Amino acid sequence: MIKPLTSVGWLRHTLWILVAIAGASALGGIASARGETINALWFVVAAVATHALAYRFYSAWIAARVLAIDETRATPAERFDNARDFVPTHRWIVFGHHFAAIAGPGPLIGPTLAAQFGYLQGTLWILVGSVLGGCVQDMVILFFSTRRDGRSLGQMARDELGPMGGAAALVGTLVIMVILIAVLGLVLVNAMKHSPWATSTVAATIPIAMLVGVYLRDIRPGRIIEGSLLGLVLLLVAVAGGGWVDHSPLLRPWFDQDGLSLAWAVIVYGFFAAVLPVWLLLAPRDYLSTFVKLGTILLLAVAIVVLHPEIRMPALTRFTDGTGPIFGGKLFPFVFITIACGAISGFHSLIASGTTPKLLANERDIRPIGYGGMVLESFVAIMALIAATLLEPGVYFAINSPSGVVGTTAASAVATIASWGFPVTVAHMNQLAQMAGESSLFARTGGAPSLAIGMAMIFSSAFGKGVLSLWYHFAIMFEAVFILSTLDAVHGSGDSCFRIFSETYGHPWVGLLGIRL
Amino acid sequence: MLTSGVIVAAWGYFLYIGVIDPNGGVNILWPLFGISNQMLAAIALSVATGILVKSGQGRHAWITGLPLGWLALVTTSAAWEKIMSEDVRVGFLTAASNLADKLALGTLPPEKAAIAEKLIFNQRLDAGLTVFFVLVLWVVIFDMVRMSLRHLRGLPVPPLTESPHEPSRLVEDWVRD
Repeated sequence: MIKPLTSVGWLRHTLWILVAIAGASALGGIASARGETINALWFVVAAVATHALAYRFYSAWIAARVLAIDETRATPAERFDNARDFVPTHRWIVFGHHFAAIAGPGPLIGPTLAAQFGYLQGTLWILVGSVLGGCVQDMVILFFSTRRDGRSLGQMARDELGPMGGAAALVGTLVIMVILIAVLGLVLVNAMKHSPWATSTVAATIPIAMLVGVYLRDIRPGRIIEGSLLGLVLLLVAVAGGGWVDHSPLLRPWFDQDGLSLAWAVIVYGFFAAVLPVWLLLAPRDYLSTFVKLGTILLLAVAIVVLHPEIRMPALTRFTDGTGPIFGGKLFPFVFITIACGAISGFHSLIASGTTPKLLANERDIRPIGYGGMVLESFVAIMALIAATLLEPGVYFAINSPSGVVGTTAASAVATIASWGFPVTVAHMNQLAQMAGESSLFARTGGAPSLAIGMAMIFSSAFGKGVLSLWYHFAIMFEAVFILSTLDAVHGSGDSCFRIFSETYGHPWVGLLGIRL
Repeated sequence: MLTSGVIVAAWGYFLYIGVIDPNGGVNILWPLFGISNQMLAAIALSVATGILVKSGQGRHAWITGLPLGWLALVTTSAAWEKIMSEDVRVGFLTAASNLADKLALGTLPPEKAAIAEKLIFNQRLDAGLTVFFVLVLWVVIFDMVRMSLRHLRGLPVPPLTESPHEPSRLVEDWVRD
């Protein structure tokens, strides 16, 4: 039976139709704009409308018809409540934890690197891939794990598919984590190489996290918000203090390191982070990074709307033919594996079958946390894409092209990039580097420096001119916090992966490795 | 402690190679990360599709089956190009043999010749890993399809492991520290 619509119902219908029209025209505008520049606001409108419609209708349909979410059913958190890992928790706190865990630096780096193809394919893949792929994956895995006492993906693969699929899933999980940490460490090293400011700021985040850990455990136990705010203030002091280190003749040489020594520093850090007690480093960093992430993303969204900058990158560049300087390979299939985390990411399924299902108080939270968390992450990816494509394309390629492709001198790099049709001058790059407080911006590969320049330009134009260097290093600190907290989180799941594998399959050598001393 | 050491050693190796690579390392590691991440997503979607089929939601299995098909296509073709491509900047094996030729001819500058052996080994290792990722991906998809077909034919399959329904007793507006 069809209910007659009330006036409120009509209002709602009209509103959603308007959202659909706005989204469709923004997407149409992005797809058909050729030759002239396009405003970043179109991307924001297209993303908000697409995600709002998908969340309201598609995810609701999946929740009701396919998964049959049952509000009256007790969750694992309620049934096994042990005040340690199974704890029924308020919806928005679970959302914060889940988002902080899934939002690694992937959605920031991927769109930045893929911008060498232009803005069009990246935008479309992020939007379509997330609403049909990534968000669905996160939500259904969270649901299935919640219905199975919070079991991990590897265990579910073994139980539901059979031993072969289960073994493949466990080994795959382990290998992907090794590659993930290595690439994130590399991005971090490339951002800190010969940059005393960035290196000292990133280094300062470690004692700050420990201080917050001690504060939360011994000085004011349980005051999470208070401790996190204290940490946040200290982080801002560290960003400004880095500038002082940069100009201090005494301290500068200590933090002016080449790539190899920084790589060793990251490796040694990784080992200690894995063996230190959780309350000292991991837990406080988790709180800090949640606040830093949510705050910065909100600030960036506001700044983009206030500033509504023009996108300078063409819709499609000549590098769709596979000759791109940042990475080789054609548009298909490489854009779809370069932008992983903003569209669909297997890494999320580890979180959605890890800590999150053990915290859910009610099954109805699965939709806002599973689908909604990924919607927010995909929105972060769109903002990273805007930050990368509003740079002059010449500047973008000068920062991101490795010296092996464009040559080791500034003059040869500028000549090569200009020959691709993206004019840029040495003087302009030097001026930009000086404004950012860096010695050089040529060949700073990895995506983090160019994203930081893009973010710094947005922030400094929107909230205060002339402090580009502060904003640049704030953005580097923001990226480093993402990377270091992912590194810690991944280590935790690496250990449990070993354990599950040895319990399940009982191979002697795996069993040996699985012993935690 | 021991497992942590093993894991750190494994990623430390890839990080080290990435840092000494004159092409920045990101252009090698990021595609490898992308392929492995999409492979893991495909495994998750296979598990989900299998569960949907078993729980009688076969007609809705496209909600995870569709992205699964796309990821299988994308990941496999990207892996194919990374292994088979004759473009030095795409194919791992081509890059390795190209570098080996230059090393044998002695045309490399000394600082590059010193690390060439390591880079050649790493390119071949990356090719091997890519093959491994694709194999794992198709093993899981194959396992899921086999299990689903058996279920549809009425043959025995591993049972659903959903835990039994228990009514929730949590009150609505509770507050917890």
